Amino acid sequence: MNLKMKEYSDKEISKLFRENEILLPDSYERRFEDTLNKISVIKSRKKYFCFFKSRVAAVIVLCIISASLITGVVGAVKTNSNKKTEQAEKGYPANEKNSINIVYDYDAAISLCNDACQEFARAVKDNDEADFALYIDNENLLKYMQYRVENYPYSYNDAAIFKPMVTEVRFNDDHVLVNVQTGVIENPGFSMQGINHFLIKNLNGRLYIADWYWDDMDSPDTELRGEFSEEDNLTYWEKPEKYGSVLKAISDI
Amino acid sequence: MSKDDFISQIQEYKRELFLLAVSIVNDYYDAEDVVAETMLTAYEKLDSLKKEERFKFWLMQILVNNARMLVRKNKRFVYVDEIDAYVSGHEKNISDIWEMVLSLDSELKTIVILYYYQGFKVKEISKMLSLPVGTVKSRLAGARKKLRLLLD
Repeated sequence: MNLKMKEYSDKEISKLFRENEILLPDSYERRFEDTLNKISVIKSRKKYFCFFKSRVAAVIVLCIISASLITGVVGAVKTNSNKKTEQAEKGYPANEKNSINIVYDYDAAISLCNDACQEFARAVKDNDEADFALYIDNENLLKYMQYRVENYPYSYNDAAIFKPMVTEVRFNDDHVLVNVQTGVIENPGFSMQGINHFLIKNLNGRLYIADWYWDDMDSPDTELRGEFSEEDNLTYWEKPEKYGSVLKAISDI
Repeated sequence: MSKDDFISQIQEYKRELFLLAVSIVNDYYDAEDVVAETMLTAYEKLDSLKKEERFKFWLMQILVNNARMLVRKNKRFVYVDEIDAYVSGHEKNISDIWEMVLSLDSELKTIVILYYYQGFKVKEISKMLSLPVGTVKSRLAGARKKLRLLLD
């Protein structure tokens, strides 16, 4: 097979741009300064009541916002309820209530990671909202994963075959670490898209993803969360002092 | 945001504003007009900026709107000749990487500048250009392939 690796990561390309700044034309520099001077002599800006030029506009906009909010809340409640029903019916059962066993839980843990990767790729390919309810129970991680899907810098065309490959599995008493390399078989070649570190926990007899860290130069995990640590990341999404700044950063986008 | 803060912040984006404008209007004198218009519009609309940390996104969005309006008004199309003229006219000032970018198709060029140079996320670019996320990603994939080919 013709292997085609990522010769330049997105970060490396960005670095090339920053290191090779383009000189601006003199006429632009002058025009920019002139415009700044114009702004500096403009009198204070007009202030409008509550940001609107008229009360009628304010009432119309507020009505639209209220209607949207009501529709959104009803929709969210329905979606959440559907997800919970699905979750109750399916899922990845563990052998015991609280512990994880390499003999009995191996297959379920691997399936959980593979299926979650496939759902991620499906959402990216279809440009759709990902449904991770079967794989993730933590609301904070769910929110973050939605951001990850929406901002995944790669797209998959119809001919591309997404391929998750388990490269390492390590069982502990209370969790499992599963490393999954993902790649895409294209025509021609194959491109790697980094390692996914999954930390799997047992929650009342069902396996769930406690953390899903994408280890890649272009990953928001490396950018926003620092390096992966098996011990610290197991409870990452339960501690506001850890996930707080990450959720704030993505909510601004 | 005060007037002084506005003036100080907008100066930081002098380069970004110009390159983004060029990528859309494909003419560097028009780009100067678009940036000047954007600076004035942004100052007038400063009250609509809710979060100061979103200043860059907000500013670039105004620029995109102004640039597209100018393109529509002039009924301009992307002529390869115009890009070539810009590149050759400023040969001494343009490094290889920028020459590559400026030679890309217009729709790829804008996304490359926003993603690689300005550091915006896919979702932000999708909002800014009013394009579906999938379209941004597929254009980014096309641009990435071309850039890597050229860089090799």
